[in-house]
Amino acid sequence: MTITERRRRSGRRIVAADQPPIPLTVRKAFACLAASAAIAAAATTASFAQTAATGAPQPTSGAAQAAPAASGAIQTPPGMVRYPHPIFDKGRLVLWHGAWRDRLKSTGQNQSAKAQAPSPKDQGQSAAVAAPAQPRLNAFTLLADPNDACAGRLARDFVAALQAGGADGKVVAGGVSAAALGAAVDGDRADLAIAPLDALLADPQASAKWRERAPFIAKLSGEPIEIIAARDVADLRQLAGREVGFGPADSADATSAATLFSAFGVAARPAYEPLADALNDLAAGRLAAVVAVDGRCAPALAQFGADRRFHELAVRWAPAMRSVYAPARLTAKDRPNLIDEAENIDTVAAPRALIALDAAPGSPRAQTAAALTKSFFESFDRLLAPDRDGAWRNVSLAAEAPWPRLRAAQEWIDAARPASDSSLDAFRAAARSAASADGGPAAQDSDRLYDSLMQWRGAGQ
Amino acid sequence: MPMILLKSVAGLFAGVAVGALSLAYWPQIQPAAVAARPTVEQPQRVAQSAPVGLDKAALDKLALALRGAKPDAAETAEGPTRGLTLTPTDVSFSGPSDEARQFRAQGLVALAYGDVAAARAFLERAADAGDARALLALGDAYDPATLARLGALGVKGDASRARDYYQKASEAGLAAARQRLAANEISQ
Repeated sequence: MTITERRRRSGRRIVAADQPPIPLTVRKAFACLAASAAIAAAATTASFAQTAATGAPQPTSGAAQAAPAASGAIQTPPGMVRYPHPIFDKGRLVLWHGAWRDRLKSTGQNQSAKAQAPSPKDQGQSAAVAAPAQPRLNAFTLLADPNDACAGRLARDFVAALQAGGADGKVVAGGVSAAALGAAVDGDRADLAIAPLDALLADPQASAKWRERAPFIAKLSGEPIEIIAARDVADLRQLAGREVGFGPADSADATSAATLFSAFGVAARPAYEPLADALNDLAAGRLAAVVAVDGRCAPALAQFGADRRFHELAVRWAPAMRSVYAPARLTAKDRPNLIDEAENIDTVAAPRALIALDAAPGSPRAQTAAALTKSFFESFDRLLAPDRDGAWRNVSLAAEAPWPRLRAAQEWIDAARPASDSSLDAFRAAARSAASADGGPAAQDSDRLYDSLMQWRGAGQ
Repeated sequence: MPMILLKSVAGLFAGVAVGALSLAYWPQIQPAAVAARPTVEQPQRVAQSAPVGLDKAALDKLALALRGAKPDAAETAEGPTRGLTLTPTDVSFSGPSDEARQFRAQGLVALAYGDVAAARAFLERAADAGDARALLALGDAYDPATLARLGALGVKGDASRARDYYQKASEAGLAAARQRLAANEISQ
């Protein structure tokens, strides 16, 4: 595979000339040697450098500093700064942060960026290379699933709200499955993402280290999972072995659908196609059912089923779902073609989350994410305006999730909360105790929790 | 000759050291195995026999718990995958009071954790199942005064809905609901 091909696949901007392919083992050996030499060099020198622009101490990678000496003269391209994670190709450091973004052209900051970027001459005088000088709010990208109209609307709202605060963001379309986000993290494709939390939690590759690199900022509103099937299908288990439309591959819908079906132990055969196509196939009998998450933004679903041949399947709630899902209910008002009058269809809501990409604690990207988080939280009321998506009104910024939260987000929440009191602490302690039990909060916990709530509320009266 | 041998041994040690350091540093060069997995860029219709990319152990545990929700019916007639009954009749609870109380417990935990939207969803299920205490807790989950004291950020209260739930709880005989209404805690 050529570098050009790899660039296209990974999304990384690789600043190096194409060279004849070299076996992977040889490339790894070069990378090992370069990294080892870098570690050795770093061990003999100070590992912290003072950034020229901010004056704040920034941890620098010993490998990134010493690799040029080990692999030949490498100079920082104009307008770029070193990427904090060294990436090697054929033994050479090749990835430079900021190269791909093209953000400087549109914001007219070429001059300042060039001024911030160290010149080759400067590099010759000092091995210390500046990290991104200042977390810049005026240029960020938010990744959203192009097949999820509601996520796209949320993303546009988010960008608009931060733009009102002086930021200059843009929405970029891309996959938000765990695999796609993994590529986005490593490929430096975006700063933030709106991603399905259930799929992230179910992903086997989401190691603790990877989770730290993709912390969540806020848990967004849950959206009902809808399963539309012919009326002779009354039970989710009847879909085992049959072909079910899951949504486009790598989409939020597909990952949420796969997670839910796996959780119930129903091995349906997923068909990956857009919702409108899947509904056509369902109507033609080529699919047994179609799964739609966030169907409120899908006109195709709103118009589907006028012939009354189809209906919504219920998804039974089970306590084991509590850490990820929340109960949800659909009525004829939501789906007049698919739900009979006076009928309630119970299902579950799959949560989305606002994720910071490649923002491990202490990294330069974490600083950028912190600035974005602060702007987001402080401008949140703009998102509650009537012209914004109604889902913002159900967002609890302090809501927790079984996923690491960006430290700056947690610090902002802690600072914004009013001072606690002993009765509120007792209520929260009771909740923690109930939640930490095997199986989570149980029926027998309900009265103790209720009494604790009453004591807290009574104490404030 | 001994000097040559000594140099060779030293070189060997140096090589081992470099190799060890390389192994120690290698994860930062290849930081996430997730990236190696292919990404399908163009939507296409592909049928697969089983879902992929999921934590089987975690999902097995979840599936086991799901099946365990109805242990009396799960293993009797239709094999190990049964236990999920999805008709409107069957989603009603075999033990309504316990189920309602469990929803209430989950709702109160979510409320304490600041997840107000989830708390409302759980408590509404409990209230629908006839739990009067859930009605009062729902009133609190919509009460702007409660949310302010709780430090709920983002989501807003709804005084009108809170009053409605307090009223229903009061009609169900809860004295605390009457106190809430009498104290006129909710701003108009």
